[in-house]
Amino acid sequence: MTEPVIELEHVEKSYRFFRLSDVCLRLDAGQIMGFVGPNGAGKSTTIRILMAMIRPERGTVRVLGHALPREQAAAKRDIGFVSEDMRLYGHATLAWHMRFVASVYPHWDTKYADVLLRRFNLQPDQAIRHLSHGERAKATLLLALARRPRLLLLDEPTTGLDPVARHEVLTELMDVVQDERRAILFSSHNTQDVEQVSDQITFIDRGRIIDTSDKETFLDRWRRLHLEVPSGVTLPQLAGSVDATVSGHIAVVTTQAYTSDLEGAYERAGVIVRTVQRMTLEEIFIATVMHNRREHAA
Amino acid sequence: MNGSVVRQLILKDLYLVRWLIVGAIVAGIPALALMPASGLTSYVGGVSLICVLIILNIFLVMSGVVQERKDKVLLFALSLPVSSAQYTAAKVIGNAIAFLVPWIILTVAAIVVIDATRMPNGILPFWITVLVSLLLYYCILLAVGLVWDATAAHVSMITAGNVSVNFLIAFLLGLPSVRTNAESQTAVWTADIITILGIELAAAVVILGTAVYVRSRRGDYV
Amino acid sequence: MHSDLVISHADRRPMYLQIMEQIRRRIAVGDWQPGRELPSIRALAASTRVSVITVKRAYFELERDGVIVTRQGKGSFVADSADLSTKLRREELDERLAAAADLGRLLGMTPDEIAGRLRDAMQKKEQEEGER
Repeated sequence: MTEPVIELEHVEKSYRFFRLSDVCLRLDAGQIMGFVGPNGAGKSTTIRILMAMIRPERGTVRVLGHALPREQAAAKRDIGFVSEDMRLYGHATLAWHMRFVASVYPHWDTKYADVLLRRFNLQPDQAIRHLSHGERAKATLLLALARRPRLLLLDEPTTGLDPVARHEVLTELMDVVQDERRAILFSSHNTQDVEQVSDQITFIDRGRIIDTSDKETFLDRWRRLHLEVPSGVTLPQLAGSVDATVSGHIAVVTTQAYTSDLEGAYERAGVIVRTVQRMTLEEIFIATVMHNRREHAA
Repeated sequence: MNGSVVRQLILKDLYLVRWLIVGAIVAGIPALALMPASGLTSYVGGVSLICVLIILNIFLVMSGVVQERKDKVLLFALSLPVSSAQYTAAKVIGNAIAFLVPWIILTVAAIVVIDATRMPNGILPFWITVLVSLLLYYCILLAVGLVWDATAAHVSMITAGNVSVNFLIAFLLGLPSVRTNAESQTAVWTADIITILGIELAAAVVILGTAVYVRSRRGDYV
Repeated sequence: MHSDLVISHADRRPMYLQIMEQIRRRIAVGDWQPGRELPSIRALAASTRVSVITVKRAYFELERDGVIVTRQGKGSFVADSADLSTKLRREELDERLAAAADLGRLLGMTPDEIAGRLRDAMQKKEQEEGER
């Protein structure tokens, strides 16, 4: 059993108006984890803690087998970090940045860097400040990818990218995990991208991890049931049901614990099950957040 | 292996401000050329030299340290295989070299100008004290830049610094030892001048050292 | 070993089912012969841009259905069953009948009514065949 690539345990960090509490996260080699949460939920803070840019008040942080922040230089040698708000040196060119990164990391792959330049359609001799937002994002990604790091920490890598650029980025990311020693953690608002390529998915809201599981289990567990409740019958409150919207005889139940005998359970109670729908990751995410917020408000 | 990353960071910083360094030296030359002249021209030359060094100081700290943090370019530097302490060290060393190179060149040139021309050597202690005070000013501004984020802190510091330099010059010119020896052909290093020089150098080291220490203790870099 | 599988987002069925269906189809039409090696899980994941865990699941289910065989350390291969094509076609028929049953229930039809409609459809097909 190889050591996990990322291991966060009970990490806490307080700011004036925000608190990251009891964050536990684990990522194994060969996997892609999608990190989904509303704005301000703590995604960037968590990722920066993994880069030792922020020091938590409590908890342990281990990345690639190194304890942070003490061994951060050793860990960062094999981590590629890209953040949506990260900037490069505006007056320098992309070529300059590539030379700079290559001089710092021994594993820079010049051939792959050239392939990426073509694939991402970037001009290396252009000054960074003249690049569009999308080009800058792709340039930053190139600088991280061409080093072939074991771990990629990407804070919103596809935000603000046009669909074609997103497609190219996802292709490169999926290419990374063909090597099962490598792993990727990426945060995103784009639940479709997360749903497509992630092996593991973690939901975070208001500084707390509210759910984490592998993708297939998520998609299997959640369902929306469209029911008809005849007069005189009461809609049973079954375990795992997260939301029940009732209007007249029609009820729509959202459940996070779907099993094959759930329909049977409703039918035995006299309720008619009309349709059982799967849910997209976005619907699952929103239902999870709403449910979690209601629970905490109570 | 890590020493090389620090070296690369320093070289990178120097590369990015290369025109500032060259510009400061180039702008200082006409100022030095004017100093041996008489009366108002000499005064203008002297003030210009001080201005060049102050402007270099402000630009280096604001663009090199403060702006890098504001613009999140430091995220790129921090993503490199360095510890945050090494990053701070690289920043301080790189920035300091960028200031010291022109400062040393212009200070030495000023000494040469004063010594070689008709300017009275007696004015040398005054000038050395003023130039070292600019070095102290740089250390203070760099220290503030390392520790504080708010632009208001920096603007206040710059205002206070400029005013202080003016006060210092007036104070020095008012010192009896300076006044009496100003016209003499030999430089006279009196005790009060040496004390002031000592205080300036000590303060520079202590203030910058404290700032570096405080910065390294802080866990959060973003 | 390029697979050319294509995953659609407009298709609301789970991705692992889409992968399974496309593999089954290639086997059913004979493009992938028994004994042929399947792309590695990670290679297929990369070429379809779908998570490794989904491809793993598709391969797992296909193996459970006897469509493919996985040899430890060697990879996955199309199963050697002689009547694999027929088996797959029968499975596809079962799937479609299940879908028809769902629709019928939604419309409130009885099994007999659904069976009646199926008979009509088969007769219509026979007529069309006869007319050609």
